[in-house]
Amino acid sequence: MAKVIVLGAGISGHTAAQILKRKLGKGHEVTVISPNSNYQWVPSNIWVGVGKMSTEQVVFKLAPVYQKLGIGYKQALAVSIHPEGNARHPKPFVSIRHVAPDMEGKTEEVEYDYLVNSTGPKLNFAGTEGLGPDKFTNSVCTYDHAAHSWKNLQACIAKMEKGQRQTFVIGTGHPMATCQGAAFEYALNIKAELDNRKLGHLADMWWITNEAELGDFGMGGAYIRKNGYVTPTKIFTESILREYGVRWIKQAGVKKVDEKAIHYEDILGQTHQIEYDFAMLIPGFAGTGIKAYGREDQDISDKVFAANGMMKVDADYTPKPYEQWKAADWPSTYQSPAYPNVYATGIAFAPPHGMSKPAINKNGMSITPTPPRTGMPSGVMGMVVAQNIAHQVKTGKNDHPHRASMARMGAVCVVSAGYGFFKGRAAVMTVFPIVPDWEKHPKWGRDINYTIGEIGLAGHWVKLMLHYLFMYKAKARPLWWMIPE
Amino acid sequence: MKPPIERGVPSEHLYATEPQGMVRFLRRSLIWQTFRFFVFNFKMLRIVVGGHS
Ligand SMILES: Cc1cc2nc3c(=O)[nH]c(=O)nc-3n(C[C@H](O)[C@H](O)[C@H](O)COP(=O)(O)OP(=O)(O)OC[C@H]3O[C@@H](n4cnc5c(N)ncnc54)[C@H](O)[C@@H]3O)c2cc1C
Repeated sequence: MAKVIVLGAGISGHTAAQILKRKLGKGHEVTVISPNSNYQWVPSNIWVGVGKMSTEQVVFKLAPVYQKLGIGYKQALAVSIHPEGNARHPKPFVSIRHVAPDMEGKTEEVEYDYLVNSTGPKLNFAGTEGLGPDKFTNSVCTYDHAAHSWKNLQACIAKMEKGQRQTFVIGTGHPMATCQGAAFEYALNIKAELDNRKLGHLADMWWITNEAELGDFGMGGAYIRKNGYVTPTKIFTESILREYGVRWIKQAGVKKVDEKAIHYEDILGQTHQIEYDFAMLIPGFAGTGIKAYGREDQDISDKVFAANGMMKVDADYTPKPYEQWKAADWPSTYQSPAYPNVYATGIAFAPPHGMSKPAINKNGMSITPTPPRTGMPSGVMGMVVAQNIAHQVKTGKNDHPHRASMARMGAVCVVSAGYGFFKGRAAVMTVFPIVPDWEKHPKWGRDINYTIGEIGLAGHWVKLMLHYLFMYKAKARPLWWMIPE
Repeated sequence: MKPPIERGVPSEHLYATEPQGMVRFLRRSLIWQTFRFFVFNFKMLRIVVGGHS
């Protein structure tokens, strides 16, 4: 009997666990270790942040679903992994700390044959002074952050209803933050909500970003074929912001927030500030801080994790200049090079390098988005790793018949721009592949036939459909496995 | 009144394109958007199926 442990029950880990159990059946053990008792459909947090969905609509309890599927579940934090075992354990194991109220603080060592690390990002608010919901800015990265943001947004709305102007600054809160898409849709949703309430004229809306150009989205931008032109996403994105009356500051490395203003450096190294009444800034992402120890209990974290705390996988991590970045540098099996029975998927794996061209100002501040690993590729990675592990368990072969490189797979990103079955809007953006492949597609970096960028009501329906479809799938309702990633 | 705010490149938005009547109408037209909904789904499925082996 094989024991598979999945760390993290987010989009990637939950997908991996569901598929592992379906493929492996009763004869093998699949256990999920995750601190939050809820699953959350993160993309819909945007709507929680503008009061269009309640937190209950974007979450559900994990335990009953895992019980139904026969998956083990420990509500705990992974603290360290021991891929060689140690004197007490002949087999590899994970040290965990329970967080469920009845077991809080208890530690346990759980042995495994295969380990999937899908722990997502640590939201590194501490990386920027004054950032985060405990300090001065809002967040939509988790459902409780989003609910808190909605509360603060309502306070601004109340002031606007009394005729006061309010300044909203939305964007990236760290010079190397990613997830621009989420912040972008929050800015548009706020403006749409204010317009619906006939308060838009009292809002000064600002988009602040570390992107070199708008529409970069951490993937070096993209090209869209539209109206007889091939247009860069810069034009598309700027047009949306202009239409919504949102002004922007680009190439901004936010370094500090105080109760009145956001302080940032520009690409020339000059410091500026912008005052705000409401700010939602995405923090930098880091690994979750899990350590790794060898057989003699020596620290081998450097061997297993990259400097940012994310796990090294089958990528080419050789440092090289932007001009030499290649599609082939990106991983396709997500297997740890140090320990073949360890995998990392979703945001937890360390990318080999960025996709956006690095930009450093004269003070040495790198103002460059790190590459996004959005929901769709995170789910696909979880699926592919699950399929490969199931294959290995069943055949005893140590190969990978299933592969999914971000340089070979596409992504769909639906950027909500307002809620409502008849009044909603969203921009549907697709790229193929996610990582530009300049060797295969020398002109545009990607397959232009697969790229869409279009805004409209249908986009909102797509986003709404994805919400219900993926909640259904994650709840493992009948025929859930027929829904593609 | 708030003190003047120092800003990065405040005039850039003036150079952006802005959609006009027909585009705005089509974005809300139920018939056109229903058609686009199916197109999006088809294109998304093509990407999903083609993206891994
Ligand atoms: C507001 C917002 C909107 C977004 N919208 C979209 C969108 O429209 N489309 C899209 O494709 N993507 C979107 N994304 C991105 C998408 O949500 C992420 O790419 C995706 O959630 C990543 O999945 P993941 O499983 O790697 O990480 P996560 O979803 O973050 O899951 C990580 C899991 O690991 C658990 N964990 C953390 N630490 C530990 C530990 N030490 N031990 C065990 N478990 C641990 C966490 O509790 C969590 O369950 C959005 C993101 C945000 C913030």
